[in-house]
Amino acid sequence: MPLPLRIYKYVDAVYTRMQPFLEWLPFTSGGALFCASSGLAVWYFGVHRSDFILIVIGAVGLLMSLVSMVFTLGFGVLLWRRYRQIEPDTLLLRVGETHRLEAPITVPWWMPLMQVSWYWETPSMEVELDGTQEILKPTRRGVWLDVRRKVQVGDAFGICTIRFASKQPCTLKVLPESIPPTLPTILQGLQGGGDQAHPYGLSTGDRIDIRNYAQGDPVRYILWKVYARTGQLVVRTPEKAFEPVQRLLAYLIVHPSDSSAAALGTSILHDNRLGDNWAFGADGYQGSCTEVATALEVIVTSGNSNVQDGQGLEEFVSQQRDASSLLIFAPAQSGTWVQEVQTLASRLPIQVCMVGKAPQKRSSLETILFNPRQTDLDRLDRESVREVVQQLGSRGVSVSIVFPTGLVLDSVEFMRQFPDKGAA
Amino acid sequence: MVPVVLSVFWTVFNQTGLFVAVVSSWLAIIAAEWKVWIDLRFRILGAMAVLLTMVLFTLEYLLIEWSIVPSVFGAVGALWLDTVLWSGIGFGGFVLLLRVLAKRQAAWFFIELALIALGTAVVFFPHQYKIIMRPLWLSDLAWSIGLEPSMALGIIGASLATLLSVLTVFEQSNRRHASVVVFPILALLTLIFVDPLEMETPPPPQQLEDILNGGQQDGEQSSGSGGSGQPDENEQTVNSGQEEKQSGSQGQPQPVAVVLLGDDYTPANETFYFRQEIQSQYNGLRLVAPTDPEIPYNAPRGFPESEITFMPPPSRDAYRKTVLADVALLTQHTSPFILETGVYYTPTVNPRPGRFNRTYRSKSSALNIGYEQFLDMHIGNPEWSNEYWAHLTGRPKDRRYLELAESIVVKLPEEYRDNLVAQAFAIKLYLDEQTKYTMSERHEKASDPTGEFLFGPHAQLTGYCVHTSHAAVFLWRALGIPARVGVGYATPAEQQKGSAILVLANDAHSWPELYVEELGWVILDIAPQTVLDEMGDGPDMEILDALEELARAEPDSQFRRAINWRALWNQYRGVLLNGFTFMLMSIVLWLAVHKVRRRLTYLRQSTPYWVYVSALDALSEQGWTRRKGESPEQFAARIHTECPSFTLIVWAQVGHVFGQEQTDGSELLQYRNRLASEIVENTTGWRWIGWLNPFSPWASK
Repeated sequence: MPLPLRIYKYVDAVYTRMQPFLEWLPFTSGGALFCASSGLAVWYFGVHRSDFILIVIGAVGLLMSLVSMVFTLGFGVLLWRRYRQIEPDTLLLRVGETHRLEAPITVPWWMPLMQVSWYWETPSMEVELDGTQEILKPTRRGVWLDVRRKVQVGDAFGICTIRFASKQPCTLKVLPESIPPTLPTILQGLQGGGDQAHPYGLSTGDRIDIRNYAQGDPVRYILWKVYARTGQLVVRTPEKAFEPVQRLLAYLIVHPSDSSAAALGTSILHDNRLGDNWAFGADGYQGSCTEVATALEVIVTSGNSNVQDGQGLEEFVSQQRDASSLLIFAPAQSGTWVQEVQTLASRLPIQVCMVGKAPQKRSSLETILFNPRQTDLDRLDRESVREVVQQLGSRGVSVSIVFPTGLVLDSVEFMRQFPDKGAA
Repeated sequence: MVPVVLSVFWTVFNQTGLFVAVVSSWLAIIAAEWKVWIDLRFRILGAMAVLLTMVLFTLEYLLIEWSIVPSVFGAVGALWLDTVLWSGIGFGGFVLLLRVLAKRQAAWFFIELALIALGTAVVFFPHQYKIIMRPLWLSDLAWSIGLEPSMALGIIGASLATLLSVLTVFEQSNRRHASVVVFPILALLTLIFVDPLEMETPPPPQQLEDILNGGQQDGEQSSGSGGSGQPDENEQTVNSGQEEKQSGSQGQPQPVAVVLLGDDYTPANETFYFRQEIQSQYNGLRLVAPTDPEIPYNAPRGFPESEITFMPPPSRDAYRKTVLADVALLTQHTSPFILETGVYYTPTVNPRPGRFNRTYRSKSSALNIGYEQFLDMHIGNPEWSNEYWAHLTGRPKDRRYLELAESIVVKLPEEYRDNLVAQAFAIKLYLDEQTKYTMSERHEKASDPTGEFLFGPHAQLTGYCVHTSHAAVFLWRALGIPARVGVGYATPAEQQKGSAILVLANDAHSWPELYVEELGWVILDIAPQTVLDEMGDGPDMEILDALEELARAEPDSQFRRAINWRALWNQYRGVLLNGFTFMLMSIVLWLAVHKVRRRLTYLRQSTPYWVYVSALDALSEQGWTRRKGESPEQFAARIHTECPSFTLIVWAQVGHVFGQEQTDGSELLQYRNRLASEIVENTTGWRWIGWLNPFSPWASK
């Protein structure tokens, strides 16, 4: 007879519904153990064996358990009444930075042996408590209108604990983290303003135009003769448009691992590195923007976007009639965005910047011995990046791998520095 | 952890081992702080523990069994290495594992706590079952400082509980708690409310119950002392366990009562007989307490709530001595026992209800002559009714009793052959010589246990007091001598110290008695010359001193009752309240002086600082205080509408702090006076309440 495997779903559903009530059950597992041990000490050693020491210890233990339970439940109710709804506030934070703020929840001095702790349910936030201060380290950019905390009220012994939800109306804006604006040379190849007359040609210009080499340019376009004479690396522009429109499109792929990509986009926009003529878009944002302030706002709000993984890319490009090239800020992980990019590869030159933190180095022995570390979501997955590089390279899409430290690797260099483990 | 080392391994390790264990546990505690233990996978931790255990056992095997090690280091060296191995690596590893687990999950910390508590309690465990004299080093120390050992033990428990509570807070809490001061109070409260001396009294001693029932308990209960056959190994184990419990944790016999004699008395045969029950009615199997209300029963049944007088023995003044005795029972009993022959009983106020189960006073008319003087006396009482004679001579119908009795009597010299007293002695001496004493032979499955004891075939003349006493009584009765069995305690005179007698569970006994017309009931106990059982340890007579003082409950006794807090309060209330009031007033006075000094120093020393301090205090006593985290400038801006002069004072102070040229003193005084006016304008006439508040400067910080 097959086991009713789906029963766990019902159990899970019941547990989920019961959870708010279960959270008010006071004893922790350690506390229950403590209480039982104290009872054993009193009854078995104290009463039955007349052990004067253990009966006192056991009785103190039982008293502590009782006091803990009464205090936790009593003061827990008072704290719940006080903190289930917290005064509104306005917060401006930045991903990756530590913010030390006055804690909105404190234990009054007249609640002895009580302690309170909490974590943020929404938005996602690393929280540490230091006395009366709340140390916040945001992990995701975005804009929120309230903060929901889960408050844990317990006694100082760890015997009893209850939990309750707390809501704070709050204008909370979390900016992307701050990293240096890298990619200048790549951008030089994408944006206008770099064209110059051929050294052999007329001063007013010639049929063959050249410009300075930029990272990501095909090697075959390099004019080696010019390099030999002048020592300057220049490339031939494939063809000269009658009306040279140099509008650069920039797009942010929204992804759970896009923290570094958003940070790079922010810093490039903030430093006006996209040139004079650009349009910016991101998943979840209908249309495009050409103002820096708007673009920065789009990046921040994209943190809350439900449209992700390049779903808005094609629509964004379709709206831009005069685009010359497309710069994509992408996470350092694969996803459906890769297919979206592939479909656009034939329409305009695309430069993809996969941005992510360097992968953690861990030996096999470390992997066996230690628990997996809490790793950043935007950490580079080398296999995934290799796969993306191969998929996009086959379509002529240029891929650069950018690290928040400022290091930029083109696809060839990446393959060299991060060889395929399987091939070895 | 260190107490655990010291207590649990006190007897296991030698001095070196103990030292190594302490050092290794400290090192383990330090090593547990290493962050790597937190990151380690749980299964790896478990594997490491198993591996370490295996390595330890392997190394131990090599050290002890491998000849090369003893040959290099010597046998003593090899054993030393083994000790160091277990105490160092073994114990250190255990402590490390426990610490790491506690750091990883809070629940393990409570296991750690329990181990510490148990480990410490092990040092003092000999005091269990109310043997408060143990451990002796503690009781000696306690008495030397005028403290009762049980109270000393309670204080140790309270201190340990406090220590563990504080440890718990430091380990589990994420903030400092000034309220940890509550723990000593909690522990002391526990000590008051859970008075260790008020705990349950132990059950009655098994030996006495056994004898009262004549060894005829049901199979399960009596298995402890064997059955008709040789007890098997399991039965012996059970028995030894029971006896161990009865004897206390140290193998010492369990004390059951303290008897304080009010008169000088030493029994002629060096044994105090405390009679609890009289068994004179033959029920077809054995003698039991008379069930017929017509039959006189000269002993209390149960514990009467009021005094009772019993029929005195004849010629009490000539051959007997009146002995007053106060008895304090340490264990439960079904009825009181009284020194033979009891004439009076009254319950008394129990001086230590927790320590003693019950106390009572008895008066006895104790026999004060030697056996040799009995010969000229007469057996029985001619005034008795025929029914009573029949009651006191009832016996099994087996003719062998009479035949055996006659065969014994016939050996008497001619002149004593018809003397019933001599006949009784002859039978006693016969049983003394012929019987073999052992607790392991009960004859309980025989239809006539006494018959089997006397005539066999199984274990002939082998048994214990129940059998010898019944044998003597039945043989006497066969010769027409009225006799009965007395049950209670037979305590040797060695257990007397001064006027106090320590009665032990092992003293439980059953003895034959016969009636002598001139004396009344006389105990003629059987003393088998062959004893098959090993004799146990002697009693711990030191405990008698403590129990005696407790039982006497003298006002100047060092063994006081639990602290009477109400009496203490009444005694010291005046001192405490006056002292407290004096302290409170001193503090208030000091605060007031401090406040005035802060307020008026600016008149003498017109610096921006003192003007600022004075202004701040003046504001705070009227309720304008700086909020937490608020700078002086922000505070000044907040109250600028009401007190604009304060802003000028703050600027002067801030400027002074940042090195500006000092503002003219007179100008500052002007600001300060204007501020005073502004305060008056913005407050009501009740402002004087603020002046009286001695704490206001504390709010202005």
